[in-house]
Amino acid sequence: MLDRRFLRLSAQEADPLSWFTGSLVPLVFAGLSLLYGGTFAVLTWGSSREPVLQLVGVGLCTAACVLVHVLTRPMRRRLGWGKATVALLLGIAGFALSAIGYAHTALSIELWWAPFGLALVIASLGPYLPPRAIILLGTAVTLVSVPIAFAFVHPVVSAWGPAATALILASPLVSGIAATAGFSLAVVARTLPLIERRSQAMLSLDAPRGVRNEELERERLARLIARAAPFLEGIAESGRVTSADRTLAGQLARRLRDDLVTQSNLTWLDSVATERLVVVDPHRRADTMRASQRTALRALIRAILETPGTDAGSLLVELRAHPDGSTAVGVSLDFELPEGRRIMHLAPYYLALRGSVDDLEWSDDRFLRMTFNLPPSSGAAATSR
Amino acid sequence: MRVRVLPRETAAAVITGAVSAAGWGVAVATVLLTVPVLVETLAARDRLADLPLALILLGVVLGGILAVVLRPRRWVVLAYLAVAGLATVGYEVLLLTGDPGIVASSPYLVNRPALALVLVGIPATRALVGIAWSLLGFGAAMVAGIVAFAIVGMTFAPGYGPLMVLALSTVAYLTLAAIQVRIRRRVPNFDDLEAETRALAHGEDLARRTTAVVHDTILNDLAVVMSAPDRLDDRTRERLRADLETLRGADWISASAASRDLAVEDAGLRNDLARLASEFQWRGLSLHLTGSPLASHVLAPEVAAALLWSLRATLENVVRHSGATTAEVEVIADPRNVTIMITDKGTGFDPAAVARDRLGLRTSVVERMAAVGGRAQIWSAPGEGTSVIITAPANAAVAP
Repeated sequence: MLDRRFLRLSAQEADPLSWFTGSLVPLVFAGLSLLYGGTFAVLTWGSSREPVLQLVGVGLCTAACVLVHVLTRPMRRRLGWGKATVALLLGIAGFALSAIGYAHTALSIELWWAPFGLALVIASLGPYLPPRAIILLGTAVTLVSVPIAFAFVHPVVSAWGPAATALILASPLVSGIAATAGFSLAVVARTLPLIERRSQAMLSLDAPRGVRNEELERERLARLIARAAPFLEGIAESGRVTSADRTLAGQLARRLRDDLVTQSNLTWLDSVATERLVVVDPHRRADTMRASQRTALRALIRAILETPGTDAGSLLVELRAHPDGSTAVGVSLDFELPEGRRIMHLAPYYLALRGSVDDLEWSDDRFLRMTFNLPPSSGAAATSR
Repeated sequence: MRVRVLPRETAAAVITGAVSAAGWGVAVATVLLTVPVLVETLAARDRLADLPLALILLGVVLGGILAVVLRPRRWVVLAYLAVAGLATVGYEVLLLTGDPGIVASSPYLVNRPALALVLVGIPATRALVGIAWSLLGFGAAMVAGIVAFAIVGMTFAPGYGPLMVLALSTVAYLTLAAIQVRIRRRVPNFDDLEAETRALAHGEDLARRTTAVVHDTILNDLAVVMSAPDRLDDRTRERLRADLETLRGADWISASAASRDLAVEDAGLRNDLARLASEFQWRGLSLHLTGSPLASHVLAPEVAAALLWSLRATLENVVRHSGATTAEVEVIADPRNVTIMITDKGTGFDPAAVARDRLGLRTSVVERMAAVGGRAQIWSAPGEGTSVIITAPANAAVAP
């Protein structure tokens, strides 16, 4: 049985990383629309009463695809029904203008560019709209545009009857809807189970890394007790304690305690880039993040720090606890890279993080700012005595 | 949970394969939309007698598409191309026979099944394979057209439809392939990043263990020396030696090391609890041990070790800070957890007022238990004594 989520999610929502450069899709369709529509308009220039209307119509259908491209840039919010409708209305306007232009022209409707142009607008939405939206919006577009076109061109079509004329006009649109919805459904239906199966499978620590960690920890332990251990050994052997021993024991205890406190107060975020990252985390909320959230945020921070033009030391990560137990996280920094390159460089990391946290917001002027929420954790509250 | 990212090769294969699904959808729509056009056109040309056979032949094509959708295997698609190709020949011959005028203005009606041949291929995982299947379908459509037009003795006029479909599917495959190439260049390997995260978490866990053990052993020993008399008794000297041995051996750093013999046997944990009670009673703290038997509980070695170390650290706090000379230790075992509750009637403290630079219960108890999937809760108030509840997960229950 078909999982209902397959109809409600877009290909982009199911796997955002596959589509952050996917705005190439609307651009390619814009090119196809311009090429086919332009060629058709030029070839029929002499036979059309209003040839300029064809060029305007081609321009509108092309502009609709370009609009989809603009609306689906990587850091934008997902494409909703409203924005998609605006693009489709542009396409319908282009289709209608073309029909008006051919109102008194003998026309091979099987080859007419305008139904294809509008179908390409529908197709350009494929990666960004769920199948349900594609079917509903596509059907609405067909029901609105085909009668308009029929009214203008049917009187001059002699080769086909009225039903055939209407169906031939609708055929590219219906095919466009079937292709786009079929594509979207196939991507979502295959991607979601794969991602969910992966999400359940935890990676185990590979043996070499585990052994290396243990070696490093033994070295750290040896450094920690380097002075205190021989001292205590001497005391245990002699069984005597002098006042000098007591004083030295106090000094060693204070130093050891300081070392332990410093180590204990570090969170995993501090280890990402100690010298280039300022972490404000008074309630140690970083430790409540899940492995997937840590991976995504660490990858993003690294990508930011590796970007040329980043002001070293200006990267600030701030974590604040909410009363409901959730955590608000803010990331901000100075940036000098041009916007387009910056967005494309950071997009995959941003999108991976978006899949792991709630309410991710991206604000990008000269300073980059990003905020998101971590849901409440059930972990034990830390306290100390 | 892992990062919700598919490996790029897998994602590319899924997306490329989805182009085939798009083609199937268009093929079905094309055949279905042909039916009313066919009915109206044949009626207009007074050829309704040919309609049933034409519909049957379209039905064969449609059935072939459904077979491919249900079983998208190579042999099924090849069989589809053969059977639907023959049906296409039959359909075109049927429409053209005795009525060449049907293609006079356009071959639109005649070449519809040919479009369905170009559109149906297997879900290819690479763009070139997808394009190859489209070309194979286009070839089948052309052969069917040539044969049909030859049978009726007409010059072959395939129309633009099959060529346009071939061009569109090729553009779609190439566009998606270009997108995948660009994405592969930009997207990092999240599998490696996840492995790195786990290694870091493992390192942090080890650091926590070290901090807790150093705190519980050598830091406490230094405190003992600070307030010791001029001459140490044998038990204190033995304790110092045992703690130093614990640190030098450092077996507890190894995740796989079996820590003490209290994993599966009631006797192990009971003996360790008795040893602890003896140690602290000697230091001036009387312990009242009560609770349910543990014989039916299995604790993982690291969980048992964490439980015992946490209990030790809690009792150490009672001795050093509470001023109490007695403490209650109750062991409660239910099917899923082993819980130890330690209560003293000492001075108590305000947990919210504890400075961040105090380690005590935070590292030695709370974080230690959290690291093994357990938890620790502390209730205390000035003048009201302190209760600490340490809960450890029991992995499984066995028959007593």
